[in-house]
Amino acid sequence: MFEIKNVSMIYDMDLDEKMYALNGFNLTLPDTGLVGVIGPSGSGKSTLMYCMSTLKVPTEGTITYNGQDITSISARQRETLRRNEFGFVFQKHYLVPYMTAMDNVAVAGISTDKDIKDKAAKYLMALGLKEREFHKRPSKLSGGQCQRVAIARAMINNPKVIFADEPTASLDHENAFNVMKILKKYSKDRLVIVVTHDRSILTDADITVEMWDGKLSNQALMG
Amino acid sequence: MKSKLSALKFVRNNKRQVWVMIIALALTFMTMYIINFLFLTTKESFKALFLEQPKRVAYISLTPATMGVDKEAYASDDEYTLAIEKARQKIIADIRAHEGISNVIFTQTLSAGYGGIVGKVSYDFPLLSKEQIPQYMSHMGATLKEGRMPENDGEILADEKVLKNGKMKIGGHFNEPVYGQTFKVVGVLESDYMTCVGTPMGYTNSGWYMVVLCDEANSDMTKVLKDIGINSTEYDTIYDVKDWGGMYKELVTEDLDVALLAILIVVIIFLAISILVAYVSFMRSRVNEYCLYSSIGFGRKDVYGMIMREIFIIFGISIILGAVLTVVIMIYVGKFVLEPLGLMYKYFYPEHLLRIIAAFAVIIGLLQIPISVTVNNVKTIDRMEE
Repeated sequence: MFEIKNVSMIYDMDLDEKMYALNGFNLTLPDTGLVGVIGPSGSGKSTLMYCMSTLKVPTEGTITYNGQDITSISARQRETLRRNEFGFVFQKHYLVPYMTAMDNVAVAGISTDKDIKDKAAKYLMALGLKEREFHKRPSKLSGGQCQRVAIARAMINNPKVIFADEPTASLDHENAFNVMKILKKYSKDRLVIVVTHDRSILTDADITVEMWDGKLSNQALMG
Repeated sequence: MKSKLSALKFVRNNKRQVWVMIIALALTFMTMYIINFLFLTTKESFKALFLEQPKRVAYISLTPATMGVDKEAYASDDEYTLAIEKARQKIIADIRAHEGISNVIFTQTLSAGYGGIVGKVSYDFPLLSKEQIPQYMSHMGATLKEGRMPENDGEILADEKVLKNGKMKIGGHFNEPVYGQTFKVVGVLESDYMTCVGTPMGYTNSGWYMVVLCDEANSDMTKVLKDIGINSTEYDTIYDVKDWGGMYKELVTEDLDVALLAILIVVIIFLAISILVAYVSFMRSRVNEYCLYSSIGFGRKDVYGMIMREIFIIFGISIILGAVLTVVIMIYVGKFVLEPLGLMYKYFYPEHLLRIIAAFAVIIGLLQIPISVTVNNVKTIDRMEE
């Protein structure tokens, strides 16, 4: 599904000493499965995820998604791709504070209003929220519930890829475990890429990508 | 496929914020229109006096020179006065014979006051013999609504609006005493021309005039005088349709329009500043939301479109609510404030309504500045987390 070739991402291009977030990175990923990207802070794992998800355009190299080089497409095409094919779970849940849990999920939906509401309810239910919580605003939900709403939002369009950046960072151990269980289940017929520095949550990962200084570390891929 | 970010979600879920904005805008709409309504009440009320009454009656006071009387040609003042009187009688007879003139009466006049919401105007009306009054009333299309016809000296019949305006009643005094003498109101007239008429009583607060009862086509007294061979000059006093019309344009229409425009501009400036500050605050509190939309695949255009739809919903509801409030207030003010003051009014001023809508459009235009700045600065979440 993803083929990453010689991808480099340089910050502070104008400086004499360039900062490589990614440095000649190569990776190929399948269509399905739970992929964990692990590494210490500054290793380039988040940059890799953002480049793959079209939020960032790498300085060099190509990223091919389903045969299409997504580093050279227009901003509008990148938006369309993100909207139709990708789902996002960010480190913070980024729920819209004035919307209910249900509306926060539905806001990302691309089908008709009625269909979105049904789907949102289905995902929220599947993620363990009770019906009475559907109409609560984020301020009335716990951190774990908010993160589950954010996951439901990422899943609402049944995306081919879910990118999750430190999805368990703000959760306690039990909630972190539950979130990973949900993502693992989703990865049975889809691709889920989880970026984390917490190795313990990747016990069920199909592939673990370990990064160091913008490159694959020696242990590289573990399946 | 759903392609738009819903504007209704913000409106529905932020009722307090949105309603504060809607009510503020609606009250502004109402204030702007009501100020216009009250100011233009003066315009409406003065219309009958300045524009309609002079189509039926004119007042002329000519200098001896215009009448062709030269003081030097007479040995004594008595001869001079007699010559003036003779010349006047000739002019009166000539004007009477002019087409469209039903009568000319040389008589004393009394000055009446009539005040609008802004400004007050004085105008003269004739003091006639009780036998002449029915003809004058008939010419002015006035009917006695209440009270009786004047029977003694110093009695006045006045239009009901003039009486209401001056807080006068039958049996009461008409205006302030003149040289210690007061005219007494004996009857209420119903007329389209704010008609007043009375019987003389020695001194008045005005002078003597040739009171010309004319029709609309012959209400330009300069022309009428010219037709009979008299060339009036700037030293003559002629209160006719041209004179009153000019005053109406200059003092009522132009001054009021300037005042209204000035008020409108001040209101727009304050409103624009308030709305801009409120919107900047609204948008600042929603930066994360916009960034989320951008990250999950909505473009800046989508975010801009959503913000604009929110604004149109808020402004649209405000205009509807403002219009409803305005109508209610106008009906109340008209019935309980303006009518008791004897003022005339109308509700609908399309040109002013358009001005207010244009003012709102200008404010929406000004809002494009903070909106564009905000939308152009929308980042994706990856950049916020860096």
